[in-house]
Amino acid sequence: MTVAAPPEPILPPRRRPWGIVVLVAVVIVVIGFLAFSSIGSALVYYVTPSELLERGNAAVGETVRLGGLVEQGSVEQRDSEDYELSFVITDSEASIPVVTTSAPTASFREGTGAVVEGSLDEQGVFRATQVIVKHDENYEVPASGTVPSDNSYLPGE
Amino acid sequence: MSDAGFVIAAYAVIVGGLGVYTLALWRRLRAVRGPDDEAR
Amino acid sequence: MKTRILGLVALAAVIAATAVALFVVPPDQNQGDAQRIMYPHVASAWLAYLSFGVTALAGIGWLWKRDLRLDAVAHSAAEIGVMFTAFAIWGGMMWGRPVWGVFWQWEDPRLTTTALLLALYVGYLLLRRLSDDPERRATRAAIVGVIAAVDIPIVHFSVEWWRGLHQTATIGSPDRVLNPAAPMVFVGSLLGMLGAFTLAWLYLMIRRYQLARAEAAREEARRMDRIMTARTVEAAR
Repeated sequence: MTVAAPPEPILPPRRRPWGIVVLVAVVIVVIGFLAFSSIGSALVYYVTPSELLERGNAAVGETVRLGGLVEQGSVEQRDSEDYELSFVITDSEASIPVVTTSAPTASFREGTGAVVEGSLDEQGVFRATQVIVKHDENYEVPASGTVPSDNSYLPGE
Repeated sequence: MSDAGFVIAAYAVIVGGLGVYTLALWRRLRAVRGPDDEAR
Repeated sequence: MKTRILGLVALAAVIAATAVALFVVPPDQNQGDAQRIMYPHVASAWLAYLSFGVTALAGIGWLWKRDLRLDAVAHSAAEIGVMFTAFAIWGGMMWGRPVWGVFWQWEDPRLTTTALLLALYVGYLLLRRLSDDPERRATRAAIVGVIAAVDIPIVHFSVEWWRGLHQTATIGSPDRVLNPAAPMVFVGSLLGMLGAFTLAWLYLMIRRYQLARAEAAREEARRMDRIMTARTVEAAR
């Protein structure tokens, strides 16, 4: 007997059997289900002006996201004391006037896409609590002599 | 935060992250193979 | 040695592409400087696709050929892909806040499917830690890797299939390949960044693969060691 006692078992026992694998699979499925069920509702990440107006009075007061283009020439800004921005969101079939006290980012332009969160009031004006600017996939170099944020609608200087 | 701040934050994490991952990989390689190794 | 040269070239390329994207290319007319984040953001996303595509293909290769080197490739690509996915998400958040006005929107399909992509491959890496048996581990990982790859096209086409906040592809969509919706300086800068990141990806893949093989060799040596010790003990009785 010159050899010392075996330091370790012959082969490590096969620990962590199928139970754990099943658990991991369940976790993955649950994550997948949660994600995909939220994608299901994301099919309507925003409603268009036509869709919102179709609902008629039922749409009044309900918190929704409204998406479309900011109509050319419709943006008005008041920032004497209380910042207020108004513009029209259109999908070229229907248009909804929007009023908000929440300033959008500097990329907000007339003609750009926007998603506003809020609700329609009795007068048919959409009171937005948040304005998200939905830029498109087109990029351009600034025209010579202009600065990118020249025409932004951020609150006063 | 200004636009520049976001740009710096984005590049710092992405480009810096590539560097940190590379360094970590060298260390892991050296730990497995031993010190006299050309892992670079 | 050759790998070391590749590493140096990749390092130089990443530095050069970053310098071009930050200081040479003009800002975007509408988005200003924030648009510069597009370059590493998009390049990271494409390399994440590439990584997970490699994980799926190498996984299929393992199931078919039963060669553990293919499993090492799959494992390496998954780990690097997780990193690039995280980069794409981080860059997207840093771009979204100044331009959209929000860091994140759970209801946007592109964002949500990308978060799912990250979760799937983090799960893949965790799954690999659960087994000590290299062959079983490789088989389980291959199956998960192939199933998870289903999310890659979903992520890519989510912007076309569903209404969301994320814009559609500027040059990556089928009808845009030859007619990108951006001036050539922007496209060139993006392709430069993509090329630089791809070099870095190649280098990291080689090193990560070497690590996986070295770990496998050590694992095997330890196993053999234990068997030999056990046999000696048995023989001595």
